[in-house]
Amino acid sequence: MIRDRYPKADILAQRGHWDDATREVVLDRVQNVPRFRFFLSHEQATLVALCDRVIPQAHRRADRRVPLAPWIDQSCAQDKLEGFRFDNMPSLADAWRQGLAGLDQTARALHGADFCELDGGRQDGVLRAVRDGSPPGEVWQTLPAKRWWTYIALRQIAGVYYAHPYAWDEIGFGGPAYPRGYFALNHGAPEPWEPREAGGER
Amino acid sequence: MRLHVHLSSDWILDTEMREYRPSEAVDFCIVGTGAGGGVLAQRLARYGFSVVALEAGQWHDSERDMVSDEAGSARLYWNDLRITGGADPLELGANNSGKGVGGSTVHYAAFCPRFHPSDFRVKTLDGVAADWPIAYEEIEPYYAQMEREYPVSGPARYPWGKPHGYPYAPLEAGTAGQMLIKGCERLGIPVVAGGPVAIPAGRYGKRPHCIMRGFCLLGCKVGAKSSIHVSHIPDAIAHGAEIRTGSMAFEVPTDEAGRASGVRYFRTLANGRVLEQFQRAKAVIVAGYAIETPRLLLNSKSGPFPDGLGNSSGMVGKHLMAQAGPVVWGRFAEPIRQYKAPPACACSEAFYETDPRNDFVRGYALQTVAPLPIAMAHLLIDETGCFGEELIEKMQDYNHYAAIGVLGEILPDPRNRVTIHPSAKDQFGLPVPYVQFNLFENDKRMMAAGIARARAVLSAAGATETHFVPRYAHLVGTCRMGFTPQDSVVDRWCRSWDVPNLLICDGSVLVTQGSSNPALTISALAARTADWLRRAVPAGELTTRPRVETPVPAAEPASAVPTNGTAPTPTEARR
Amino acid sequence: MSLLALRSRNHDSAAQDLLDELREDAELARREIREGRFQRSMALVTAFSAAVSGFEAYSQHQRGAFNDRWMWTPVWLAPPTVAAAGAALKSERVARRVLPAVALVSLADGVLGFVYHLRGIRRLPGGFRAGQYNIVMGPPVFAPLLLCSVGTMGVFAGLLRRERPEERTAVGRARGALASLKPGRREEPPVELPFARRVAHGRFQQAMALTAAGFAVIAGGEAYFEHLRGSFNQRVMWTPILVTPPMAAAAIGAAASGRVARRVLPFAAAAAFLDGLLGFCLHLRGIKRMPGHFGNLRFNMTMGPPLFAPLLFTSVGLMGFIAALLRRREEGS
Repeated sequence: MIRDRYPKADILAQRGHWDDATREVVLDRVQNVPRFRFFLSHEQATLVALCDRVIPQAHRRADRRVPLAPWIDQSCAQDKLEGFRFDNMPSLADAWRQGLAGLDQTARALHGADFCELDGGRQDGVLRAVRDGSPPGEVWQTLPAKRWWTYIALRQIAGVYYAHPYAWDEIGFGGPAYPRGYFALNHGAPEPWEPREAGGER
Repeated sequence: MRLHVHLSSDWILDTEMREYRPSEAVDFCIVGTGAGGGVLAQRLARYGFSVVALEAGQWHDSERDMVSDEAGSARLYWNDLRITGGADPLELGANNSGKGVGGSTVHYAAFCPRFHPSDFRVKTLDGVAADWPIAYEEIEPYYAQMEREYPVSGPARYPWGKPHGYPYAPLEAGTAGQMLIKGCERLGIPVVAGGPVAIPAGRYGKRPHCIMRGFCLLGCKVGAKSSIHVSHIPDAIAHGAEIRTGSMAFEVPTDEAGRASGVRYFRTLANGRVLEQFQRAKAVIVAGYAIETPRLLLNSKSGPFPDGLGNSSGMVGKHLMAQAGPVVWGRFAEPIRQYKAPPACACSEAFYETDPRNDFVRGYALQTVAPLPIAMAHLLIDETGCFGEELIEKMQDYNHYAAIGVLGEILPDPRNRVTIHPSAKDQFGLPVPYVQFNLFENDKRMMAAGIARARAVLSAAGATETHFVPRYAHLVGTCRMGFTPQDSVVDRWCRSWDVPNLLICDGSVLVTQGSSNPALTISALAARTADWLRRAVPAGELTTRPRVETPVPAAEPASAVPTNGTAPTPTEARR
Repeated sequence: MSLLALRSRNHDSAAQDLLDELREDAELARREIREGRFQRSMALVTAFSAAVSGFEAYSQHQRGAFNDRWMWTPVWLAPPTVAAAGAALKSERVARRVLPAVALVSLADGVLGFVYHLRGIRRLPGGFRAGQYNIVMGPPVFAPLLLCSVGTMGVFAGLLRRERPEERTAVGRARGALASLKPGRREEPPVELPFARRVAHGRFQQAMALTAAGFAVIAGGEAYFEHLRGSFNQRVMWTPILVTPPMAAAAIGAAASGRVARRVLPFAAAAAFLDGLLGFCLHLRGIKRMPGHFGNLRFNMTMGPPLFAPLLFTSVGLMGFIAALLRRREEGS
């Protein structure tokens, strides 16, 4: 049961204190959610279902949910520079395509249905099988499951989520800090404008 | 060409930069503008040489290009394709590789300790690795220069290695850093607060003092952090150096006499067009950090150099070292809010040196780190592969975590190496580096001990639970310095044994890495090499290949130490 | 005589009249101070000091996030102190009864703050063992004692006599002499302590000089640690440290010798006074040069050089000037 630990948090309300370049980047992320261009519709469904299991958002108000799948789609469509690739992994776009197909293969092997058709609990079971390293499915014979799970699925989906102001609100992060920096540096204290933790700071 | 770049919130570099025609042979063509290349450009320009520094990336304007946002900072890093493998593959890109004027010093945390005297004699002292062909005393005056020029803040007396003081007062630590200090205090471990970090406490010239925003790793918008593009590049430009951006070096050709003739590179113009160009030079200095430097040399094959330029030893690309950098974090009942204040604020080198009671040689340092949200999420993910409610709830504890980075001395091994990948190509069609890395027995034992120690420190500070994940930091060693052409790539002055007018002067030349962040050492070596070039070039020394010298005594002759009057100091920032 | 010559003569005499007036005012002020008649001026200085001190306490306590309730006391004490000192300009009763009481509370709060700041330093990792680092990074240990200067001035103000602006003209002086013969009009303060009587008649040069010396040392110490925190990044940051020993020495000398008080102290006081104003201007410039400049004012005033802190040197200089003009305890009236 996910509690709201920073109920008063609203980082976007502080955007007047940010510099122009930062504000532009963050607002663009919040306001301009890209359309799907890379994944086919079934792949999209699988990806959305995966994102919902990795970062559950059902407990949040509908207007406070962070779109995740479209950004993954965009990074594949743009052939984003990755910085490095493990020698036993394919390119980013291929890794996603293959991984999503692998989820379906594992889901069918374990429960006889595609991944997006399963209920949440069974979906989690599929994901745990991937995490453990030897899930059933042909794709996983060549695509290293553990590595895919950590570096492709989890890191990238969490990377999209925790780049968003609503996620920052959830964890009580102070957000962008320029030109207004921080002056309350002791006792982990919040700045006067920062959200306080529900139930007291200590 | 007119430059107009924000270097700090209070400083716009608005100046005419001299441009050289590629067809005119400059005295030095430097590849890379980081801790090594940037200092070289500044020194050599000041000494009156004509200098072109090629930089694959662009300027990072502190107002326009830097943002207080992790996901929006990709342009700071070397994100071109590289392949990584081995038993313990290194993560590259944002982890350790910068791109742009200033190189990795744009995104570094700015810890700037010195090496210890023992680091230069690990083979003699501990029977492992190799000795440097120079001693601590030879680099010592250049350490002092760099600490003044960056500048570096620290305590009045830094007790480890060869004790010394710092020109700037210690920087204030945030709550997260105080946890390292508190834990060490309670366990009786000597610890230093407030440094050594290249963030001056107090205004420095046109660089305002730090506002404790904690986004150091995404570039300092304030200009407080000492990145090379702020500390040295402006002075280089003021003395006639050209910083040519958008210039991806891909080959160093040689002439019939076996001398480097210049650098071939791809120039990306403002309109997106890519041109192939060739900058002629009387001497070439490669300073692209420990992956791009060997890549460039290995891709520069020719008749006399079938295995790559300067690679008669076969050592180019070998002995890649990254430091063990496992992150150990603790959860505290009270809030920490680790994202405030510079992550680099406290350090203990109490376990740096070899301790005969350990089951390993050499050691590690304890440093403060402060992961931002995405980095923290990655830590949690890497630890258990957790997802769903578990991940969300662990991240909701974000304000209650304090993290320590253990910086450990992994020993050089030729099996850790950079080669050229047989098939993968980058966006320029160039073969990409293949980085292979493995931990060996000593490394694993050292890491285990460091992690255990860090966990004990956090627990002593009051953490109710502690966690860790393996990480690695920095990249050095792939064109090591040495005594002979058979066992090294460059001599004691960073000159290639094989090519008289080729130098390599960046992290690649480090023989061992200690448990010290390499930036200051790289810059100090660059200043020292520049000093040598100042005498050597007019004396015609770059016309002949280096001779193997008998090992020199530890003390360097006084004439090599620059006198105060001539010591070049960047003055632009101080005005 | 030509019109021009006439006008120039008038012009000259107008300038001459102005100079004469200023000279008379200065002479009057000197006499008033010498005789202990500067209660309202002292109250005015107290009001201003209390206001800026309250502001600084608020501003800097934000850095401690007000994590202890007692950190609010110097902030809440500022408005009553300002109000009392302001009212003291109008009402002698307030000046004698209310202002000293409020000032004493403020004084006590400064001492309390000093103790709390020491405790705050002790609580940092390493405590006093890491003294050099913690005294610079921790709560500024001398700052609360400097706030005591507000309370001190308020107490003095309560003991002084009020100015008599009517003394300026001969007629005014005559009127005043007549009025003092009227029965029932008391000029002396109600407090019967010998010290109070001496203060009321301006015979407290030694006490004032020692007060100035004490606050000079505390201000110098505070400036040293705070400027050390900024690594003395500009040479001018040494001036308050250099100004302090001469000021303290001159003030202590002034307590011992009237000659030093009259001949030496004014110059040392002038240096402190001016250095404080210089510091104020430089701190303002420092705040402006921070990111966001004046558009980021709340943050920059808190994290940047504390704007009003240098005025403590001006206040010390002022105390020195006053001390130089006062009479000594053993002098006749």
